Amino acid sequence: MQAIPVLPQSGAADDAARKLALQEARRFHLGDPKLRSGAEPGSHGLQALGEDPLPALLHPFRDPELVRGCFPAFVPAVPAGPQAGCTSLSSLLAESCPQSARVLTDNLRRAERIARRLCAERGAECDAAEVLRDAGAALREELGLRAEQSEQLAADWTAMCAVIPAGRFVALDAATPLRFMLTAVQVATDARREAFHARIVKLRDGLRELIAVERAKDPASRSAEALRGSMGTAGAALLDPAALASVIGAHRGSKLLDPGRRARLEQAAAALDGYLGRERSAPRLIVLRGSAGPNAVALAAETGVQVVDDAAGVAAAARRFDQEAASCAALFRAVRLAELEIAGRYDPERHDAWLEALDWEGFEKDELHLVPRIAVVERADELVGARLAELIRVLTSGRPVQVIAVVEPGTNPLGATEGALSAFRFELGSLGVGLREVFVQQSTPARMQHLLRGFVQALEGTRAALHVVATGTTEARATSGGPWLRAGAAIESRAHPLFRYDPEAGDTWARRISFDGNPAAIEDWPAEELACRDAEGLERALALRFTFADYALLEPSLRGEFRAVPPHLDGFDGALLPVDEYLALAPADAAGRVPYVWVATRDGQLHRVAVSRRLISACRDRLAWWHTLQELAGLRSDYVREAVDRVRQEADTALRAQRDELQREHEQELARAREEAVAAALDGLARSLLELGPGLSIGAVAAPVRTPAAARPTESAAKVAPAAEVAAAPAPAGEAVAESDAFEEAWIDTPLCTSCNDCRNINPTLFVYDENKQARIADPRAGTYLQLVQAAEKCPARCIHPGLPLNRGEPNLDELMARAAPFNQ
Amino acid sequence: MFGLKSDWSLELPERYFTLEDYEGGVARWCPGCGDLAVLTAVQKILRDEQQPPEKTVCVSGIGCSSRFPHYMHTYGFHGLHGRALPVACGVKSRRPDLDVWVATGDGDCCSIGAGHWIHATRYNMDMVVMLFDNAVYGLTKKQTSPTSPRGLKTNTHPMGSWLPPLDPLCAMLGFTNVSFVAQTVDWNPVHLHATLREAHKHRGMSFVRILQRCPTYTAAVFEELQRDPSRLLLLKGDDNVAVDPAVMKIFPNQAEHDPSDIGAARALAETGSQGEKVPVGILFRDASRPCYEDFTMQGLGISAEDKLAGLKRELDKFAV
Repeated sequence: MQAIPVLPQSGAADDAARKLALQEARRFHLGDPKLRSGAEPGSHGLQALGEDPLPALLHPFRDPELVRGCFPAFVPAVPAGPQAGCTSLSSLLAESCPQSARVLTDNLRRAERIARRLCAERGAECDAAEVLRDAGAALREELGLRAEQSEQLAADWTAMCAVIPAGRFVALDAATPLRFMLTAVQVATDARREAFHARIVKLRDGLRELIAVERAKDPASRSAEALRGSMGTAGAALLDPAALASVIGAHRGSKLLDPGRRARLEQAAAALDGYLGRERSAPRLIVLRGSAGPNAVALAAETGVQVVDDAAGVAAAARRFDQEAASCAALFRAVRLAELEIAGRYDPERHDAWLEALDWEGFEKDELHLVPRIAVVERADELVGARLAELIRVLTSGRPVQVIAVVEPGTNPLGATEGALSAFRFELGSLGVGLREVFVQQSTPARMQHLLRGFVQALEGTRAALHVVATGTTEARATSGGPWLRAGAAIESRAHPLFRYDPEAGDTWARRISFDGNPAAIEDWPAEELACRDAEGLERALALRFTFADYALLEPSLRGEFRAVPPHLDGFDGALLPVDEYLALAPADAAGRVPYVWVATRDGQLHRVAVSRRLISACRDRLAWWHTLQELAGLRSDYVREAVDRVRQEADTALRAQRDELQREHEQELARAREEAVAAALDGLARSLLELGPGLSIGAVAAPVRTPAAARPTESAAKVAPAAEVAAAPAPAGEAVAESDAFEEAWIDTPLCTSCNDCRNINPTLFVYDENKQARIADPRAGTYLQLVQAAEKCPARCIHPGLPLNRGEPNLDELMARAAPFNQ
Repeated sequence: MFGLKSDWSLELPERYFTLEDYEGGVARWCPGCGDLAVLTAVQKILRDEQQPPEKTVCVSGIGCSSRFPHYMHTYGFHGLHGRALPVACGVKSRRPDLDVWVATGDGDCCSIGAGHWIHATRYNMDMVVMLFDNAVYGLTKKQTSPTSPRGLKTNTHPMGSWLPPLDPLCAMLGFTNVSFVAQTVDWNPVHLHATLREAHKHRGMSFVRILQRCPTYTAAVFEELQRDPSRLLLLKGDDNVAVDPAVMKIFPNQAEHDPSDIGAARALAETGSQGEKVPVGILFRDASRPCYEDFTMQGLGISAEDKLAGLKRELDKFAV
C-alpha cells in the first residue's frame, strides 16, 4: 500500500518573497509564455511537477496490481440477461465461495491476487477454468497448510469452481468494448436465432412434403425404372416392374403443379436448406475497423465475428449493412413464400412483386435482428474530422449500425486542428443526441454493467446507435494507476459522464435519458476525504473535490498546464484557491487569485499545484456540459427552480397576509375586551357608589372572578409504567421438557462446546474437533451408545445429546437409555 | 470513489495462520477444566485477527491457569507467583508492538499479586488480563483463595472459610485509571469468545474475570450458576458484548447497560457480589484513559552511545 501522503511543510518566508512568488504563480496562471515553456524557470519558487505526479486522491491506488478493480472480468460462454452474466473476478469468487469454507473464505483475496497474476501472464483473454484450476493449486502452495487442511481447501476450491459456469477472463484493453459488444450481440440474438432455426426447419419440412407429393404424381415416378428402384432387388424379383408400370394409371383427379410453382417451391426449399447449412458459420457480428481504429485482431479468432479492415471506416458501414441485408432478404423471401405456399395462399400476381421488392426497410423487427450486426469502431478524432458527414449520414439513415467511437476524455477530439484544450470540446454524445432518433450512450468498459446494458438496449432496438466509449488504455498515458482507474477518474471528473439516450424509451426527456452510474450526480464535483499527515506526523484529513483539472494530471500532454507553488504561499492573502472554489467565484472575485489542485508525487509528498487559465476554461466547459446533462436528466432545471421559488413566494405572501389578518383581529378583540372591561368597571363603581348600603364592602359586590374548572388528570394515572428490563421469566425446566421430543440421532450443540477434551478422551474417533476446535460427532457408528452416554454425562457444557441407540443389541440398553434421557431433551 | 469498494486493497499479510499455528502442545489441565475453553477462545481470536504468533506474548504467574503460556505457540513468560502483571508491564513498556495476554488466577492476582494488580490497573498498558477465577488454589490441592465463597471447606479451612469473598469486579472498579472491566463464564464459549474479543479490541488494560469451573476441587461452586442461568444477568446494548440471538436466549435475565457509566457498573458489580444476578458482559469501558506505554516508549530508539553521552552530560553538570 502506498504510504499515507504527507503535507508540505510551510516554509518560512517574508511577505516580500511571498508577494514575488504569488506574482510568479499569477503570471503562470495567466499564460506567461516564458513560464509555460519552461524557458524561464520560476525564480521565486514555482517548480515543475515532481516524479510521476497523480491527483492526490488517486495516490493510494498508485499500484494497479494492489487494487481490486473490475478487471480481469469474467465473461460467460453463454451470456444471458441484461448484464450477460459478466462480473468482476472479485465478485465471481465471493459469490461462488461456499460459506462454510473457513480457510478459503479467509484467503479469498489471496486467491484473487494469484488469479489476477495468472490472468496478466496469460494475456488479454484466457480460459477461466484453467486459471482457476492453477490458482487453486498456487493458493495451496502459498499457504503451506497441513495435509488435512490442504485437502479440505482443495475440496472447497473444487466446490467453488463447480458453480462457476464456463467462460473467460478478459483484461481491460482497447479491444474490450468490442468483446462486450460481441457478448451483447449473443444476448440479443442467440435466442432469436434458435427460434428462427426451428421455424426454418419446420418450413423446410413443409416444403419438402409438398414437393414429395408432387413428385409422386409425376408420370416419371410410375416408369418401370422408378418402380424397380422403389421395390429394390428383392421386389423386382417377385414382380415385373415393366408390367406393373403399364398397369398403374394416373390417379383420377390428381393435377400436376404448374412448373413455375414447383420451381418456386424447390428454390425456396434450397434457400432454406442453404441457410441451415451455413447458419453455424455465419457471423453474428461484423466489425468494420477504420484505418486508425483500435486493435481488434484479438477478436478475429472469435466464433461468429468477422473483422474487416476497411479504410473507409464508418463510410463503409451502410454499404456493408445493405450487402448483408440483401443476402438475408433472399432468405426472408423464401421464408415468406414457404409460409404462404404451405398455407396455400400464395398468389403469384399479388405476391411475386411484393417479394421481389423486399429489402431491409420491409423487414420485420425480428428479421432485422437476424441480419449480422454491423459495428464500426473508430477513434473519435477520426470520426469528427473528414468523416463527420459520413457519420451523420449513417446514423440518420435508419440502418441499425452500431458505431463505437473511442474517445480521449481529457482532450478535444478536434485537438489536432484546434488544440487539446480549445475553447470548447466537441462532444460526440451531444451530436448524437442532437440527431434525435439515434440511440446514444456514453460509457466505458470500466463500468462494464453500464456499457453492457447500453449495448444490449441498443441491439434490442432497430435504430442506429452511437456508443461514445473511453477505455483509459491509450498507450500515451503511461501514468500510474492503470486503465481501469483512469477510466473511473474520467467519470468522477465529469470529463466523461455516463448517460444513455434511447429514443424508443418514450417521447419525453425523462424517459429517454438515463443518468445512472454517475457519482454524486446532483453535485458539480464529487467530494472525498484524503487521509494524510502533516509535517509533524499528525494525521489529517483533506476534504477535496475531484475536478477536471485533477483528471488532466493523468494526461502527460497536459503537464505544462501545472506548476507546483512554493509551500510558503499557503494562506497568503487568500490568493490560492482550490479549483472547485475558484470556479464557483464570480469573474470579478476570481481576478488576481490562483486556482490549485493537490498533487501527490511518487514519494508520497503532497504539493499544491497552480493550474493554467486555459485548463480552467476547459474545466468550465466540462462543467457546462455536465450541467446540460444534469438538466436533461431532470436533476437541475431553471423552470423547476423558478416554479418552486414562485410557489414558495406565493405561500409566504399568503401566510404573511393571514398572519396580519389574525393579528389585526386579535388587536381588535383586545381593544374591545379592554373597552368592555373599563365600561364594566366604571359601571360597577358607579353602581356601588350609588347603591352601597352601610357595612357592605366593594369586594363583596364585585362579580367573583371565575376560574375555569381545573380538569387536570391525576399525574399518577397518566404515568406509564417504566419499561421493565427484558426479563423473560425462565421457562420451568419441566415445560421445556414437555415441549421437545427426544432426539433420534446423537448430536452435539457444537457452539457450546468448551473444548475440554472429555469426550475425545472417551473415543477420539467418535468425537472430533472442527476447525474451531469444538466437538462434533464424526461418525455415530464409530463408538458405542455407552460411550455416547458417558460422554454426555461427563460433558461440562452438557452439549452432547446421545439420541437413541443405533445398535439395538448393545447390552444394558434400557439402563443406558434411561441415563441418556435427561440429555435428549 | 473511482468505483472502488472499501476493501479495495490486495496488499495482504505474508502468511496465513490457522488454529494449529497457535497451539503449543497438549494441555495438561484436569479433564473438564474450564481453562481449556479459555485457551481455545484466545487461539480463535488470534486466528481470526491473523495475529502473528511471534508478535504475541502470553505472561502468567503461578497456578493452574498460569500454565497457559505453555499451551500457546507464541512467546511466553511463566513468571513468579503474583508477578504476572509486572512482567507483562515490563514487556509492554519495552515492546509496545507486541500483543500481550496475561493469564492469572484468583490467588495469583488477588492475593499475593494484589499490590501489582492495583498499579498495573493504574498503568493501563494495552494488554488483556484474564482472571481465571475458580475460587480456590487448585495447583496446591485446594486451599482457600481470596475469592472462595464463605463456607467452602478447604485444606486451610476444613470447617469452611469464614470471610466473605473478595469481589474482583468491585475492586477493579475502584482502582484509579481503570479502563475496561468485563465478566464472563467459561461454560458459555460464545459469550466467552465475544467478551475476550472486545477486550482485545480495547486499547488499555482489559480486565476480564472469567468464572471458571474447577471440576476437581470446586465443582459445586459454579454448578448452580451453570444449571440455573437465571442467576446471571446478561449485559447488552450497542456498546456491549454482541452475541448471537440464539445464545442470548440462554440468559433469562438481560439488561441494557451502558459501559461508559461507571456508577451503574459499580452498582452491577455490587449486586453480583451478593450472588444475585451475577453480571456477564462489559461493565465498564473508557478508551480515553491514558496508557503508560505512551510515555515509556519515548526514547526507545536511542542508541547505547547516545544514552551514555546523555548520562555523561547530566553528570557533567555536577563537575567541579
